[in-house]
Amino acid sequence: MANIGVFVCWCGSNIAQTVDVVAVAKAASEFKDVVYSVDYKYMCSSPGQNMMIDAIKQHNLDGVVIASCSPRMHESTFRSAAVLAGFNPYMVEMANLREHCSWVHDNREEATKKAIELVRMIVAKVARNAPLNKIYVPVTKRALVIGGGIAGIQAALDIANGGVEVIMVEKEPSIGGHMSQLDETFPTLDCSQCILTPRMVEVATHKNITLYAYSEVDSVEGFVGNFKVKIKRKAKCVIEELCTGCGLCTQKCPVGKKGEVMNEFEVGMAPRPAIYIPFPQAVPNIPVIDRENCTYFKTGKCGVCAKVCVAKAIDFNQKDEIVEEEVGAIIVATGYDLYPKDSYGEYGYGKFKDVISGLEFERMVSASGPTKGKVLRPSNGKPPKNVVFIKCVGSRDEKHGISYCSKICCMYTAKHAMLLHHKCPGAKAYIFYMDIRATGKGYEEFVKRAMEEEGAVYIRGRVSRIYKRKDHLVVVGADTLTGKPVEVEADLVVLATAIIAKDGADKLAQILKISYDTHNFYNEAHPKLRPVETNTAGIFLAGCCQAPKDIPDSVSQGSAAASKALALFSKKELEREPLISRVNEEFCVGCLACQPVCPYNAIEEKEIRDRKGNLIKKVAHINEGLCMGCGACAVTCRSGCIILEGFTNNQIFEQINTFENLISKFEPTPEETVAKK
Amino acid sequence: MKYAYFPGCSLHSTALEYGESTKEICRKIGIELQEIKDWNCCGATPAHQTNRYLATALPLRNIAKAEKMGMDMVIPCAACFSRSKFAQYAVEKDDEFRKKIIDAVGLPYEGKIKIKHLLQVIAEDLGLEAIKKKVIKPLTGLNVACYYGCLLVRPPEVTHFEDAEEPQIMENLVKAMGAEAVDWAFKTECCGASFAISNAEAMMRLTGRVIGDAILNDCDCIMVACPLCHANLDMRQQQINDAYGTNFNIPIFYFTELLGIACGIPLEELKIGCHLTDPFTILKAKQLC
Amino acid sequence: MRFTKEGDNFKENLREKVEKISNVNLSSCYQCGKCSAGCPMAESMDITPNQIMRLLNLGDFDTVFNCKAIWDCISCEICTTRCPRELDPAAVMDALRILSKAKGYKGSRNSVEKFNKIFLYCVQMFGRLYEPGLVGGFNMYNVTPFKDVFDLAPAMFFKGKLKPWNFPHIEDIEEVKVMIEKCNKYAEEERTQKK
Repeated sequence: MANIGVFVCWCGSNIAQTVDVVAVAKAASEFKDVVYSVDYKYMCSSPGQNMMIDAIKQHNLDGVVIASCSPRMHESTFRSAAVLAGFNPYMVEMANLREHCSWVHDNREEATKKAIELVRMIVAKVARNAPLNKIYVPVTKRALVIGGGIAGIQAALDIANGGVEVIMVEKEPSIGGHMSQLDETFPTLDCSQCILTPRMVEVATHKNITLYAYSEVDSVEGFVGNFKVKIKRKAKCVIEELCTGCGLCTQKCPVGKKGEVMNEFEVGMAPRPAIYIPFPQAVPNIPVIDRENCTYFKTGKCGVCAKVCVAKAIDFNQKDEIVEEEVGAIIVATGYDLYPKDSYGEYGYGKFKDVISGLEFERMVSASGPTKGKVLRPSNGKPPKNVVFIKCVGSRDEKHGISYCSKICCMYTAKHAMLLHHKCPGAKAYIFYMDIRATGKGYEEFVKRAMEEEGAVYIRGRVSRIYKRKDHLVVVGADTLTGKPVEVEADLVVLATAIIAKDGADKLAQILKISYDTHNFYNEAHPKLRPVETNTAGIFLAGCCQAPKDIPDSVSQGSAAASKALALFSKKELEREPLISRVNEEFCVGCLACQPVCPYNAIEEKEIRDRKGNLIKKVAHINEGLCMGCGACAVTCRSGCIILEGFTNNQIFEQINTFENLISKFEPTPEETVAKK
Repeated sequence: MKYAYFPGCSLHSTALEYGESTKEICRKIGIELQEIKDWNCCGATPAHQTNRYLATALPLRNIAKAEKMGMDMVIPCAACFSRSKFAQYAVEKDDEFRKKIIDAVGLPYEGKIKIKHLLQVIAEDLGLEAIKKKVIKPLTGLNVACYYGCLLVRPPEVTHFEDAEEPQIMENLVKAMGAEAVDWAFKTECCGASFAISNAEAMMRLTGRVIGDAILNDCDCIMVACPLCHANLDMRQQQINDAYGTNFNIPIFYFTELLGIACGIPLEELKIGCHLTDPFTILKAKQLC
Repeated sequence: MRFTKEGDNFKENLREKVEKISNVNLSSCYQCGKCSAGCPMAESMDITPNQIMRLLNLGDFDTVFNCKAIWDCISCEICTTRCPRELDPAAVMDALRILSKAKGYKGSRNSVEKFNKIFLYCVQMFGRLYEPGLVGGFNMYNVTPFKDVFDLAPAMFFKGKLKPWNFPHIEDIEEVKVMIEKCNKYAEEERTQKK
């Protein structure tokens, strides 16, 4: 015999408008095993919860049914309240009278009947509940940050300063990401490298941060608090501990003088040697050998770098290495790529030298860039007179499969117009736009300055075509505000290309087992309330890998993700819900039919031995930390010896049986059938 | 290689050269053209500006006839090609519309055959390698501006013609003939053909800028694949000169004519003498006649 | 422009008719202007293509049906090819021409429409074009009797391109006439259909 208490909630008018809750409570009081039944306006409120706690104590209840909203809404609320009453939380169940009843039906009489039966079924289930206890798994107090751009750097520093060890993995030879390629940043026109490089150095020298540059994540196993990560450290062919960063090898390398290999950092606008440091402020300041383009690796001849290296740090025999690390949380901050500028046929498919992308313009105006900060036409090396900036190239263009706005282009185009004005006196900026999105702090004022003080001409309309006439380009656009077609004779055209997900983002997501959308951006757990978490516990997001955003937002997300990781690490152990599968080892024959059906690889073989060490039998064993309680194994088990705690066969069958007994109550009587006709 | 041939209204009259050179070159390179019996006008621009049912039914009747002949259809005129592709496209998209059109046309239609422009048949189906073998008089030193016009390439989802912004099929054909293809900016810009008679001023402005850009990029002649484009570019140069003060005098060739010359067909059979703008001076200068 | 409580702008379901004939979802246009930018005739139009789309969305059909622009459009399809929202302004122009003429708007009485009429009359008579008749007929109808007559016509005649004695003839002309009748009937039905 059980002592079950039933609490029927009005949920304001959400349930009570359609279901006669008073009648439900009254009917419930007469159910088998129910000793207390009451209705109340808002069970989830403070008085409502106290009512539950008091009733548990007063009536010595051993089971509680809250007939209210969906368990996804408030199961954790009521279970936490039960704990305060010293009551096992897994003896509290909910009957969903809202999403499953009042919100989907109109007829009050029928909805009330249904509600009563829903409560009756859950009461039957609770009578078969067993008290369960939370499972505790240890937490590895270390974090992995994938990606060394500004978001990743911020996250790493915050976690490290919080006293936790961090491992940072960066694909490129240097950290810094796209921010290191920028000249000045909006809205303050701060020098990007000046504000970034101190952070980069901090990461490299922080006692809590281990930096693996020129490395990639190879595989990830495990679960929140207990990840096992394999990191592939690509062979730099340079011994880090010996290298002094003098750079002599990069100067003497014979490759690259004729432009055989173009520098990725300079967006292909300048050559680089085969042994190279991507940019002077690189962190770590260690060169790497690009084995695909190195003469020694291709032909066996050369080796000049090894000959000139005073520190004897070149090692051609270095191989890729796999390093295994154990971490408790992972932060993904892998950043973005840009839509290729040769994607538009009407803009020339990339054949015009003087049509460049926003990032190429950024390198051009950088003092350390390929033109030493001078704005010059790539076709003839002369300064331009008319420079046309085209926004929304790729963005907001369903024809090219990109429906979204890239968020930063309006601002950086205004910035480019300003930089043009500062660095190239006599040049005029024409900006073709559809809208101006200047939503951040100080952003609107910044754009206003571009228009009023820096002489940028804004023309509202998209550009239909760019073609060549003699030695300049003709940009064919329109001004929709005056209704006139507009043609600009341009010397240089800068395309603000869309932000797209990084190449290989989908593969990384599959390694991490996190979800991503049709554009390969990573999915946050909730678009409004949980922007830096994923649906995979222990893995967090920061920066543009989640969606296009500017530097302030990337930094904010980096810190937010760090705080989530630190919260995880604030406990010694992680609590897990005990609603997982369990093997009855007495009956298990060790057929392991359950093992391949588990999507979480949670089932292993376990040997049972006697005291002398002789093998008695082998059984299946479910890892408490990995099991997510999907129940696939329980269904597969031929002997029925796997149960899913909280949803055992007994519990479910009791619910079904209770309902079956009442089926006759719902069949229409002959009179009713005739009446309907 | 056999095709159901739809010449279009102009190939026996205004575009006489196109009709003759098509016949001659196809015979030379082994493409058999079987003219559709009693084909009717495709409706061109007036039909689609007046009545969308008429605009689809007129070409579809010809397509249904070709389907009965059991052959793919080849069309030399870009406008007729465009209208026929539009007709096929429109009945694929809308079932109710399709029913009405087939009822009006009065012939069975299943949409089984392909519709191709003569350029596609020669350069793709037959292939450039086969063309190169037939070339006995390479057009060396001839700088050709390839003019596609608008209806061949647009809209891409209807015509499926290579690339809508940077097609290369004519340039590749020019190279196969041994000539040089000029890179210029107006190769897919409209010449204003449909306004040739009703809004001549607009047409002259559009044609004028096409010819202007071709000349700016140093070409010897312009090669076309549409009788309407040819009519505008070839016949109106004097009128444009009068209106705009230019002095255009550049020969306009059909691709079938140039191909014919390269394959050794005598010029009289190609009816090149029917051009209004003198074609012979440049041909003599390049020792092609 | 005024939006009354009675919703006068949206009477007569003209918007639905335009959308049905052109198969375009007008609300999708976000006025980027790429159509007007690429339109070769935009500089001579009184209302540019993007403005036409705007007026249609706001329900101002009178201005659109009476404008010169829809008859300046040469259907070169540059707008349709490049529209980022994958709309079809060229088809909308066709729909507007069809509706403007059918409703007898003053703007629809122009040389382009006259040319269309003569052309289709030729097709109805002969099944194919009779070019001398087309040009001559147009010149008469448009009251420009000497256009192209002194410079082009003789040149074309002597080159053998103009053959006034060659009337085109097809055997199944009667079936073609029936086809044209039916098409006119279907078009009329579609145009006058109540929602």
